[in-house]
Amino acid sequence: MTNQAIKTDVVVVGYGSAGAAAAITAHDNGAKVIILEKMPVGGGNSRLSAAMLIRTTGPEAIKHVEALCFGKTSRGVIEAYVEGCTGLKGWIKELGGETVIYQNPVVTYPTSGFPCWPNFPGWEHTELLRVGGGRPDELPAMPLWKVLTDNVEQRGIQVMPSTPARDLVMNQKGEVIGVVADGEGGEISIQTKKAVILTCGGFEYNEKMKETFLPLTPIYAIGNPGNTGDGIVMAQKVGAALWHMNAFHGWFVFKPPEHKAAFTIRFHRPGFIYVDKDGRRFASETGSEIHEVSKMMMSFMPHRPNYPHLPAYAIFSDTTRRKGPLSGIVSGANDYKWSLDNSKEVAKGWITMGNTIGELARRISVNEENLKKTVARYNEHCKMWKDAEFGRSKETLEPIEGAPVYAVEIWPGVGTTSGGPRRDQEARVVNSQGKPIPRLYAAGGVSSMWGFLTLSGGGLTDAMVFGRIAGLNAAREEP
Amino acid sequence: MKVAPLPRGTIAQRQFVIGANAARVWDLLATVTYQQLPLEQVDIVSLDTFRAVLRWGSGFIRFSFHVEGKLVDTIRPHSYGCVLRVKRGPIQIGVRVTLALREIHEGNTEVFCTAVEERKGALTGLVLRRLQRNLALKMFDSIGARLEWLCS
Repeated sequence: MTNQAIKTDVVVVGYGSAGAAAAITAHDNGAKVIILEKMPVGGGNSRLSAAMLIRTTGPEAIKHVEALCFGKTSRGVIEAYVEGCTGLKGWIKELGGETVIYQNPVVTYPTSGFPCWPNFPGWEHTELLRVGGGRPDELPAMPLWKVLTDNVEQRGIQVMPSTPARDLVMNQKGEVIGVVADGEGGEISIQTKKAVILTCGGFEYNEKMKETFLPLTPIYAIGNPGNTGDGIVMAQKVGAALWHMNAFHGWFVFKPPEHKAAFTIRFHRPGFIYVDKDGRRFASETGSEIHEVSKMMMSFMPHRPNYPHLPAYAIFSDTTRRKGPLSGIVSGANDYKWSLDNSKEVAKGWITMGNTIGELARRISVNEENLKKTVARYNEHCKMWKDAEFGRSKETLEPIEGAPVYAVEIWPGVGTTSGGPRRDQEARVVNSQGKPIPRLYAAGGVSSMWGFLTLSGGGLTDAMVFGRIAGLNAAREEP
Repeated sequence: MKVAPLPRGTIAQRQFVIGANAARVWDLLATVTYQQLPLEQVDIVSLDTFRAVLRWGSGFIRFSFHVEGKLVDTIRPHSYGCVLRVKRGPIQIGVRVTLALREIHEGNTEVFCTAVEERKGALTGLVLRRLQRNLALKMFDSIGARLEWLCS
């Protein structure tokens, strides 16, 4: 084991899209930059995402973002975000990427795509983009990730993989002046003349932090296994205030014990319902944007102990099973190809089959009479074209009929947590008095602006917008 | 009434008026189209491309084809389009399906559906052309009926 000491202007901790955006911007504004990455390969959650980016087309978009934030994010941060969204398309073009308007290839349920929240004001002043190109069968985020990594390489920015940062170094004036990391050959101390930028993701894989901060237990992670909240702990040690710690964004998931990450669950046909342990529906299954469906499970019932909806089951028809795989394009970090007609997962026992609703109920240990009544009532709603219980939209009312029928156990999943060191509109990390901690910045999932809801493209856009802001301001620091 | 001949390469056309504005109709189009198409085992291979098995037949004859679909000309709220390609041995079919929207009087929207042949292989002559036409017309009619009902 040897100790290594390095000097540079700016250290970026975490090599996802926020880190890449920060590093490129800092470099282009005159700073010498080093990127530390904990995992052997960079990309973080960005590389596993659907790679959508939001572009705002007018100041009215502020209203939309403000409505999604539920008063948990300051006006200054929202304004900086909206302004940053406007310029993102042009910046990607400068880097050699082409953005195109996002088109939903097929409709799946719960829904995603555009518009995510049509009942919230101002959505008309936004559009959804993605970086064009890419090969079929490669992850949808690869075209964007390639643009970013090509630009990092072209600039000669040093990337140090498998080098997790452990601590921030602070001087007596309270300025952050470096990072201590664990390299493969020993400890590495990096002294920074300008700043440190934290872009190392959220705490989706830190069980203790999830249990402490998130409103449900368990919540299974689907994304980058490197996201264990390291940046949050480092920032706390130097006095950072926290924000958005109980916010998380996730899909319903299925979690087999033999896989580290959970599988996202969505349907290609609307012939399905969710039921709780009692065999009763608890929400409009198609009424929420996909990143926020897990919130459906958060309700509390005074006459029932624990979480009344955990675990839940998705009950679906054979027509729905045959339409397409329950876990698809954004399916998380597992190296597993879900079968297109779900037959492999039925054979593995991940999906339970029954020849009747009663048989299915017995097999999943859900109250048989309740489940029969629930399915019958739902099918009745379909006949009437009106969901009298939860107001599910009529174009998604498709009955669960015929045999066999199926069930898959579902749990709340988390794609990204939002919480971390509080930051301002300049991406500066602030302390409990609201004052910036000198020379410390944050962007991306380590400190997301989304304090309650998010939308398709929300996490990636926030990461890139504030990554650029952090990179610019870090480069402008006086040595 | 004299009906104008279909333009060269056109397999089928339909036109209907829906009682809602173009944005509302467009928002329902993807859902309705996807539900009405007899596709199974849909594999989303990229953000604008999918592969699937198309099961279709007429009378006692049933076919099952592997298709690849790619979204094209999809501009909210003006048009929604898809190119579907089938390749099975010597059979090669490429069909561009476009649903164009035009808002007309009193919040009504005219939907103009066309299916145009993009390419055909050696054995894609009369038999398959008839099959394609039947499928396209049936799909257009069911999309129209579903939209009409949803917007009523």
